[in-house]
Amino acid sequence: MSPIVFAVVCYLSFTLPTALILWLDGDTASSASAARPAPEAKEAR
Amino acid sequence: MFAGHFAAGLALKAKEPRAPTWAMLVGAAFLDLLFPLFVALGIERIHATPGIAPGMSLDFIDWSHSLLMAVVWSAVFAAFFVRRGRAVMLAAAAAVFSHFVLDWPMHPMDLALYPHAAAHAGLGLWVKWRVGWWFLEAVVVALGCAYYAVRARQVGGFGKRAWGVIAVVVLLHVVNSPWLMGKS
Repeated sequence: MSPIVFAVVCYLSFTLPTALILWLDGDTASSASAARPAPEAKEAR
Repeated sequence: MFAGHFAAGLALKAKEPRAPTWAMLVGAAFLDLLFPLFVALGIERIHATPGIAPGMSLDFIDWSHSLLMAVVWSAVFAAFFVRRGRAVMLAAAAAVFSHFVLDWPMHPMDLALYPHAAAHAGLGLWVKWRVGWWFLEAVVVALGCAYYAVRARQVGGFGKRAWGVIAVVVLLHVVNSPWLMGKS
């Protein structure tokens, strides 16, 4: 396997599952600025 | 280690929910993302070893995977998140450095202390435990995913389909097993 093909295979084996995980995760907790209270504050309430 | 790195990224996301999930996953895999680029550029070297995990001998991976460079890459990656605050920066650095920590038990003495160092580290469970390494990584996957699921439920804002996320990571680990990869 050439180094280029190897790199493409490596990147695909990371990118595809990562994209699926990100879609399933639906992260919104990180989208607000640092000014927003930490999510732990929700637990405290 | 493969799925274990995803599990580590998810666990760090769960620990610091203000850190973006993508950043934790990219961070946890960061050394492995540099490695194929460096191989393609001729900076690092590998050769195929069919039947022995991970399917290749990592002849020279000092610029992506050595201990010193893991620290350097952790700092570099964390610097991208300086505007998100110290906690997110620390999580980003931990994600990158977790890669070295998790690789250490698996790699057969191919993790240099610094580029071109004579001293190398690695317990070599890929070679010593031709099947057993998979079960050890399964423990990492289980712990990381369990923590992610629990925290997603407690905190909210991520892990909306946590079971789907876990299914993907478990599937990756199953596909990367000695039986399906013909490594036993």
